[in-house]
Amino acid sequence: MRRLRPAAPFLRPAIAALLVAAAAAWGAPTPTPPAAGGAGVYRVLDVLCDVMGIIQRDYIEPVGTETLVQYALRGMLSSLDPYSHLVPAAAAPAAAEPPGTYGLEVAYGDRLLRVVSPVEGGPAWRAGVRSGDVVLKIDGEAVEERQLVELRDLFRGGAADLAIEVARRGERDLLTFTLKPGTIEGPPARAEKLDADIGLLRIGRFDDGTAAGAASCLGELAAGGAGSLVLDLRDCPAGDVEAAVAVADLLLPEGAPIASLTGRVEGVQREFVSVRSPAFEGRPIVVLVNGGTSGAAEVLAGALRADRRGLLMGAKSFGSAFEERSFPLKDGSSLVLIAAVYRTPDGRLLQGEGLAVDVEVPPPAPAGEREGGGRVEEEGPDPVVRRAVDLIKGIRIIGATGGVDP
Amino acid sequence: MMVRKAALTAAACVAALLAIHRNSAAPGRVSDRDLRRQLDIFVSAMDVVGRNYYRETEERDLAYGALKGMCAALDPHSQFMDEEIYREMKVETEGQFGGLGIEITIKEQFLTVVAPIEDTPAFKEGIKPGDRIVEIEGEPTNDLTLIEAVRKLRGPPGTVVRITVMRQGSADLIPFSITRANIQIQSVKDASLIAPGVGYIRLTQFQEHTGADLDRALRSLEKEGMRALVLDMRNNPGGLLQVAIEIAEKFIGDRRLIVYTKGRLESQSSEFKARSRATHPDLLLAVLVNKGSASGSEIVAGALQDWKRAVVVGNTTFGKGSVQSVLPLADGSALRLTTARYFTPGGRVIQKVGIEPDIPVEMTDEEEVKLLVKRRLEKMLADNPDAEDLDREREEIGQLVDVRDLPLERAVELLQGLLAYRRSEDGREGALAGGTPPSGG
Repeated sequence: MRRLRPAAPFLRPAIAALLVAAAAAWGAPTPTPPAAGGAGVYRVLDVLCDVMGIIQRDYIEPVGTETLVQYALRGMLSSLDPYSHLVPAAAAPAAAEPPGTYGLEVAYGDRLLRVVSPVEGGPAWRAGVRSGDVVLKIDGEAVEERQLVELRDLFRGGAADLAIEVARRGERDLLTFTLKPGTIEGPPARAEKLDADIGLLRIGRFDDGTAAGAASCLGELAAGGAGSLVLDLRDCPAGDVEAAVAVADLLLPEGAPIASLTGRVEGVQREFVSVRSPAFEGRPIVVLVNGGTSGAAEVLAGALRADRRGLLMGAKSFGSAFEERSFPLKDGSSLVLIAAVYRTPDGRLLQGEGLAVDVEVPPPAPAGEREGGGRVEEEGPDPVVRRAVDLIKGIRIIGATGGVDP
Repeated sequence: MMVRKAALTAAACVAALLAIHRNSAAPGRVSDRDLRRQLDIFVSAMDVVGRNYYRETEERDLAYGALKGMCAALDPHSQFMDEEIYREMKVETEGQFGGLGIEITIKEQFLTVVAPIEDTPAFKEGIKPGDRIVEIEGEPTNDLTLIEAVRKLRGPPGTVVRITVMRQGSADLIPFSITRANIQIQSVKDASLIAPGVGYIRLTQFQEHTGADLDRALRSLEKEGMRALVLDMRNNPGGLLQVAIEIAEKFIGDRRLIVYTKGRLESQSSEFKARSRATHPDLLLAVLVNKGSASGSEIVAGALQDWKRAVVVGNTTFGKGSVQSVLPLADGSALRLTTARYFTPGGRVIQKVGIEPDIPVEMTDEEEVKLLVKRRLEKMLADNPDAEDLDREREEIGQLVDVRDLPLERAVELLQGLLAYRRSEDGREGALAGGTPPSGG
């Protein structure tokens, strides 16, 4: 079967500009005509028409053409990835900014709606929701039938309280949380001295304040004599990739590649490169990641790993770093597609893959066997952080590991 | 130029589709313009994806995704089969394959166990009705169609398959490793007299020899003095339609209607009547069903109920009463489509509704499961009377001693009452032998 041709060169700039708000695309006229023709498409459509005809004639219930086409579109998009989706014509344009956020990233896995991670300091995090929780009910309604897209919107924020019922590994009973829309509290970055000369930088989220926060934390650690760093990116859900790039800039030498954004739409390609000399020269850097590490945090971890300045420790990251774009159809609905994905400088694809770790450390025991929450700062010595400190000491004693000079 | 080509393609498509529509007597014919508009939208969407998605895509993958999506608008038994799956389906229906011994369906979007079949690996490992299979060999099952799931579960006998199950009341997912076996099931089981004059037979499913086996069991119980029978079809997931009809006609006979199918097309409708005389027209019957009784067992229960040949005791049945046709497509793929539904002789639809018992005897899921466990343990101990490593099982069964089979007890009491009534009303047993024509369509 022949492939569809790549992007046509005559795309309108309005569509082609990176990260242009969906609104720009909404206003654009009907999309450009098919770039592909000939036997391939013809045969494919032939089968599609056949099936539609058969269903409408033989199926036990009458089914409308529009229903079938809508389901066909959804099926086509969900065969691509879990994020690309159809926005119906009737849908109201997304509200600019919800009055309050819940601070929660979710995704489907094993047919279950799982919390990728709550944002540290956000309403869901404060309520006690944790990475890996399985959401069974929202406001008393089972989530089974709902689409990820709709749920992502729902959890993005709102004005009303949201009651969720979750199952948690190690807990016999279901847990109920009431999420109050609010703000993310506490600084996005935090420093801690772990050992005489080993510092910890914890980044809980990537937003406007993260880069500045991380810079001052790193300054503080360097001033305190830290020669090596544990960078904790566990349970750090999707956020602003620009902020992650800025943090990478603080840690990587000038000229070092950070990430690339690749896609087929004209103008979508981007290369991110470190433009300053590093604010923190110490090494090695052990980067802690886990299944709740997603998006921007994965871009940062991947950059440090590719530079061989950082070793990854913990568990495989979630695997989601992309930019989506909206493409209008002539009936007023639109397709939201993953238009570009981030790659690490050594060419690793994050989307759908995740970052494998250099040193695997199983997560702490489930909550049932411990008292209190699962947060680093609430618990005293965090076993994963301890392993990272051990590793740094070991590297210093024995020498080169993974390209790190003694 | 591209514009023209796409428009032509869509136009050809529309023409083909319209031809199909004109040839059919389908109600609710779609207007040409609407169809053209809808197809046009699809064609342009496919193109948008083809040009703008972050990586290149295959037209075929997009179309197959669309076809799968289209079938998602239909019931769980309707599905699109790509070439490979269709080919394997054809092989599988002919060949011998090892399996786990479970009947599965998709319910509320989950791959769900209707019932484990007794004496199979799944039954022995403790798979329970209602279990949701969320992983097969570590792969999530959420995107699988029913056929794909069956294909993954089957394999050569002796090989192991790992599944992960989500069970109500259990916070954790439960992993199982089950060794596949040739599933050869004794479908007629536990035939015995359980009270004076009252026999008991369990039908676990309808397979090739079920009719003959049932005949033998009935004859031998009649020799022992059986005059009433409890026919237990709980957790019977169905099987061969012809065999279900064969079972019903032993008790109904006289060319009476047992089940009929109806679709939107005349050609999808047909009637299935008893071919012969009933071999046991006067035997007093109580039928046990539960929510694990599906398809063929619902057809039998529905027919016996409508002809007033049996009193149905237990819980409402599963509600699987649809007929699927496999329609090959031009490119080697095929469509499996629900084209008709089964109706009881009295005109009741089985699909989704199920058969309502005349005498409802509620059993909670927990009680059902306990009963199943008890039966499994009893069987294990009976098979290995001298085994010394079964102390835990003996202890476990000790705790289940109070588990009662209430529906069975109620059915036996009822039949004993009816036998007594028949004796006192001697000569008027026609009133009890049943055979009143069903009312309705």
